[in-house]
Amino acid sequence: MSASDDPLAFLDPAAEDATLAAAVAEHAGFALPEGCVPGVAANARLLRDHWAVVKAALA
Amino acid sequence: MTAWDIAAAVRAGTTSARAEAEAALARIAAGADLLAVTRVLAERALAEADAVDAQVARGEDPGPLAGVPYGVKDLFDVAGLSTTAGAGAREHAPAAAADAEAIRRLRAAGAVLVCTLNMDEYAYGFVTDNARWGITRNPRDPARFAGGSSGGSAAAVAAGLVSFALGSDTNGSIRIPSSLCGVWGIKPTHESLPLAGVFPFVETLDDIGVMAGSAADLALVDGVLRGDAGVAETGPVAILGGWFARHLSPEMQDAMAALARRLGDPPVVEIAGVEAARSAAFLLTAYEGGHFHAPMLAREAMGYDPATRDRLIAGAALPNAVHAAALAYRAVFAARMAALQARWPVLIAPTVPGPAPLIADPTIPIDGVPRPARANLGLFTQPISFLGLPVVAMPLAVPGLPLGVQVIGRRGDDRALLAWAAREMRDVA
Repeated sequence: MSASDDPLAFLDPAAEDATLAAAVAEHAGFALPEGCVPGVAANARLLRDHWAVVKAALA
Repeated sequence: MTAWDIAAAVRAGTTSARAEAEAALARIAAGADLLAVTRVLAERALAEADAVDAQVARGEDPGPLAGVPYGVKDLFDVAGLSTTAGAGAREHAPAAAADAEAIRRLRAAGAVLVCTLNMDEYAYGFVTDNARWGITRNPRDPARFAGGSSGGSAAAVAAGLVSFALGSDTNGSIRIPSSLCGVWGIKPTHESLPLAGVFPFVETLDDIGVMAGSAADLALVDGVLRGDAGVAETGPVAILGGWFARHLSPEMQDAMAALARRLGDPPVVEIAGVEAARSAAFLLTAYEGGHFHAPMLAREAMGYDPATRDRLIAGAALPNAVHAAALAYRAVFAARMAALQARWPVLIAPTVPGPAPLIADPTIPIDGVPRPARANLGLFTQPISFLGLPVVAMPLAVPGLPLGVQVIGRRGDDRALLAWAAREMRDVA
């Protein structure tokens, strides 16, 4: 699966929290309250990790 | 007393349902420090108990659960009450018009509902650390978590407040608290017990089930809910190794070794791709939970417990392709499990890596790294519920803090699994 085919390509685990949270907000379709940014970014990275495991298993 | 004992005594007229309800209400009041109970339903309980006693007085049989007090996780509809799903934001939601179907069936069998029980907000957690109703304490050591998300149900049974309770299990939420508190539980074959009137979390994985102090009570209540109290047979047993033998605490390693010896050293078998099964279950949960909550998060995100909110928001951003991939992997993993269970219909695996974590240190070690217990206690449970298989959570007779195992059956083998666990495991539980 190329980067362009990756449905989670928009979640760059190396990005700053604010950038990652903004990407989540864009795809979720609603604005995030300020206090959510660190927690949302941490959870987005976690989901990205789980996706990598599933993607490898299906490859 | 067990549910069997109470029902027999009420049916025989040697005790009354009212006396049993009043005793349960007194135990609940005395056990308030556990933070297991969220609402005490004294008026309803006494009215239901009086109705049972009236049936006995008329010479009628109230049913197999005559006068047995019980509680339900706070996501079952109870007529006249808000269904909170553990969310403070729903504390004043419109009241449910009717009881959940499971409660209706239990009432028809003579059971008496006495309380609602604490849980992680929206069932998204494994510790029952609730921002509105507090952290449910483990009755065996109040410095430790009861587990979750059905932690109030497990703690209420373990402390003897009620002889059984209802919980729900999406990724381990019956099995984990049952094991950490030392009680029995069942996560049934997916959708084999009624979900009507239960606040949803992840449709693909959600189930309700029973938690009880004994295998006999578990089978009794499950039979009432299922409308089938039959007993069936199942085949040989094996122990799951590989992924399920990693990450174990020394106590759990000893307990699994002792269990194997007691069972005559059954073969240890492995299934490939367990880690991916857990990850796929994680993604399914995040996607479905996040998308279900997205409209509410868009309106009032700050009304959520931050630990729940941030997980749900991240899940709401997952695209459909991720959900589809998780389901595609489920088909792969299900085929592997079916092949294994064609030879070994009963599989045993640890439920949790070790004893209940301390509230002051809410982590568990995974590959030597401390990880949040709230999200990671499902290490061994998520790959199994991912497939919708029936699982009996069985406490082990161990010194010290409770530990438990999953006894895993084939789809639809629920009654056979209960009978097998009660018969074959009676000396180790």
